[in-house]
Amino acid sequence: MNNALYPKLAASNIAKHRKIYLPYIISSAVVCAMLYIMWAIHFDENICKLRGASYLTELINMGIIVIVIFSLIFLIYTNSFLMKQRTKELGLYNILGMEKRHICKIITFETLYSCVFGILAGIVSGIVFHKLVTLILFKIMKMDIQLGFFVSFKSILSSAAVLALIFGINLIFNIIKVYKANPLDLMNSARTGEKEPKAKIISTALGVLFLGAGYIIAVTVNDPLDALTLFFIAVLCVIAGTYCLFISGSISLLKLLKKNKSYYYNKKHFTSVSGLLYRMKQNAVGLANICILSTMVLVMVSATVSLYAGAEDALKQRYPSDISIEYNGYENQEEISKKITNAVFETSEENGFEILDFSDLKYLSFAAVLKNGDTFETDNTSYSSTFSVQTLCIVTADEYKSLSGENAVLKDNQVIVHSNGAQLGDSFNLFGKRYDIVRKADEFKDISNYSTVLADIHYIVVADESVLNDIDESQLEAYEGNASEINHQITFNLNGTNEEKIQLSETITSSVEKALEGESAHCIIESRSVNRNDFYELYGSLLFLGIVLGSLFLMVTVIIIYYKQISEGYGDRERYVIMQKVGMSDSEVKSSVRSQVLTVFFLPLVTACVHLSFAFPIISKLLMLLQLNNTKIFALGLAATAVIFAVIYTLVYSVTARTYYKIVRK
Amino acid sequence: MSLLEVNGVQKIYTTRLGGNKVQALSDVTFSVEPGEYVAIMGESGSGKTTLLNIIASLDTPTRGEIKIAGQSLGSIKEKDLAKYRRNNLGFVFQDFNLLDTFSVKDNIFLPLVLSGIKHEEMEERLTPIACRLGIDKILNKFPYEISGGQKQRTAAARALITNPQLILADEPTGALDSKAADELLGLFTEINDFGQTILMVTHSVKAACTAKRVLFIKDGRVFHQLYKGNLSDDDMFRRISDTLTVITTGGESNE
Repeated sequence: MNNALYPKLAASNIAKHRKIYLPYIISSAVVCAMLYIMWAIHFDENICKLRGASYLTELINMGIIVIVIFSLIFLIYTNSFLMKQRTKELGLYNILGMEKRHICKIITFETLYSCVFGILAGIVSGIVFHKLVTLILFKIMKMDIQLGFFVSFKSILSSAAVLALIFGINLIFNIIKVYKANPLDLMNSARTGEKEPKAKIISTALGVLFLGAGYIIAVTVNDPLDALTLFFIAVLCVIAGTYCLFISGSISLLKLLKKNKSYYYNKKHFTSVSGLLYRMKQNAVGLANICILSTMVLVMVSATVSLYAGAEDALKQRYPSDISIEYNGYENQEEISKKITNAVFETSEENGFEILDFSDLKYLSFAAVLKNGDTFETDNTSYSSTFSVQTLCIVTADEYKSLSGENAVLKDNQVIVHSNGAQLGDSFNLFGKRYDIVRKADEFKDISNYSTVLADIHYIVVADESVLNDIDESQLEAYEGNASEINHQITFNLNGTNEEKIQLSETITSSVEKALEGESAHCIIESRSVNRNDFYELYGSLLFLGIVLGSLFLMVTVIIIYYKQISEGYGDRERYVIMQKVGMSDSEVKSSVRSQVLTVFFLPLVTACVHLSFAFPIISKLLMLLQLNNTKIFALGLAATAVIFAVIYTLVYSVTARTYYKIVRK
Repeated sequence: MSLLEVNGVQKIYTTRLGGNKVQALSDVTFSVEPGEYVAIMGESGSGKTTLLNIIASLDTPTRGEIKIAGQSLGSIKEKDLAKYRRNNLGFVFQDFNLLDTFSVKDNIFLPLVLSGIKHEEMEERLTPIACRLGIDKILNKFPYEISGGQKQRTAAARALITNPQLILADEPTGALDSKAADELLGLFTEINDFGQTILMVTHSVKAACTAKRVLFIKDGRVFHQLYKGNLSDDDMFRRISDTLTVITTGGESNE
């Protein structure tokens, strides 16, 4: 036989089936481009040397693994769809006298072509977009770096290898399929009658149970630390519930509707209920996949966007002042305080900066367990669970005055309290002494960075130094080696730009260290500006990864939907013709088809949104662990992501719906 | 008054790109009285399916007029056509055209549901028809679970349940084996005996024998017609065969 025949046939096959081949090749090209870019960043030595690159390289590595696994699953799925659409054609070749090995030759050439096209297009676009992507990456990481244009050969090899591997697997699948089938099967596989699905009560009930459990966990969780451990359980529950409900719940519901005779035998419902019943049977898994993918995209993108958007807030919360200096453990605290203060003021004056909002605060903080709502236990053995531990932060009335500007005149057993979290009653017991709460302060300026501590905090204002010292002695006794010390915290702001602040904070650090030379004890100096860079490096890389994976998942969703529509179009064409012949008007058929398509299309999106609204409480708690305390930002980020997603989704819907109608009305 | 009047119907198809014109029907005129059972025969491409589609209001004639019970199809508005078809015509197709997603019962109910008839009334109407057609035992099965003959009887039940003025059958025995075909034709005769008017397009001489009148179409016009009268099926078979031979050989062989 003429050997040039097979490549030619293969090429014309791809051209003929471009409606289904093009999305396949395009999506493999996109995957390849993504892999190229990720690997190019990974292999880039300039980036590896950057400060904060450790976050980035780690996240990029993770991203590469996710992309590889995901594209493997996804491209295999797409290929199986392609083959299903073509079984009849291949059967015809077989009947017309082609042997199976000839058919395999054609398939091999087809795979080769799509593989080469996909890889070439992917790498070319990868190279083109690589520079742009790195620029965006540095922009969101707030790094100001100039990089040249370059081509990473290592990256080309790696991404091409992954794609070649996937196409190889697909080829093997296809060849096995051709060899296993006989020609009549190949011809007839599209025409086997579908059985009407049966309602499965048990798995529906399981679905409701799983989903309910997941939702309840998500809504009722209060503690951010609990949220971390429960989140995965909730996610697993919701995933299991979604699959159960899509697969059997939808069918049980439709069956129930069908049993209701006066509802079912109604012009509006008759064809759509029975049509949906079959559609759900064929598509339930696909729809559940779409639903879960959409939820994942929305959660990932909105979480990373919100973290990034809330970075400045989180930074301010974590570092309320430009610079904070904390120290303890010195014998001669007053003297040390003076030394540090002098060093700070001198250094900033020398450099021409102004010190603003200077404060020097003395406080005692230690942990205790609250029992019966009014007694703090300091017994070591009562640390049964970390979650019941509360932090007490004690200052004197004088310090409170300098903090809040409010005068507080208190007796020895009187206190002012401000609690984050669990609230106290009218009084409490501490080390055997009863304190009456004369007032509860509405707000309290953050001391140290306790606001980021996850346990409940009670700020307690006591009458004077002697009360403070009494408490200090008692806690030294109770905790012995683990006891806390009275802390000093100096905080102040600076004028100037971010860069200047970074420089100055370095100078101040060295001059403070010099001033304290020879003293034993420790002192921590933190600068907000220095940490700002760290924040943006972490949150920037997270955002980058979120967007990259989000767009990958979005593409996968879109392609799955597209293929679903097409395969349904071919199935619906016959039904459409028959219904018209039996006396359904064109517009009736159209509206019936449209309502089914709409349901199938938007059911996953609506379910994803329901999932998200239930997930909102637990995710916002999780984000608190990452120092995003501003729920509003997350709500906004989530809403914005959902809207953008819905717009893209609807766009895809209208494009595929057009293709769909073209097929149906042919 | 005739139930169906076909007056000078002409149909010309224009190919999609506008170039060629194909004349499917040139000038067809005939009428069908209430209670008649008429078969239309002709070679492939003689225009019989086009004619049936035009009578079924699925297609419009280029010239001429169709009247059913005195009402001209051309005067019915486009959006009312489907409803008109549903209420006045019943269809039996060669390939059954049953919906796989519906049970036998629901397939039969389809036109009634579309007309907005109450469920109780549907059941009432169904019972006698299902018994008569012998499908009362398979009402809850699905089309892929039953035989070809049963499928066609289901389709016949779907055509009958609306009490149509006219049943149009397009090669109803085309996809059936001979036993199932005989049964179906017996059914057609039976329902015709109850007064139902039937117009059937067919290739099969055997099927045409059961009709009371056979129209022959050639080159887009009515070429000949035969009345069965008191003839036996065998005699009718022979006369139809003779006529077909004449049509095929261009009218030169016999006389």
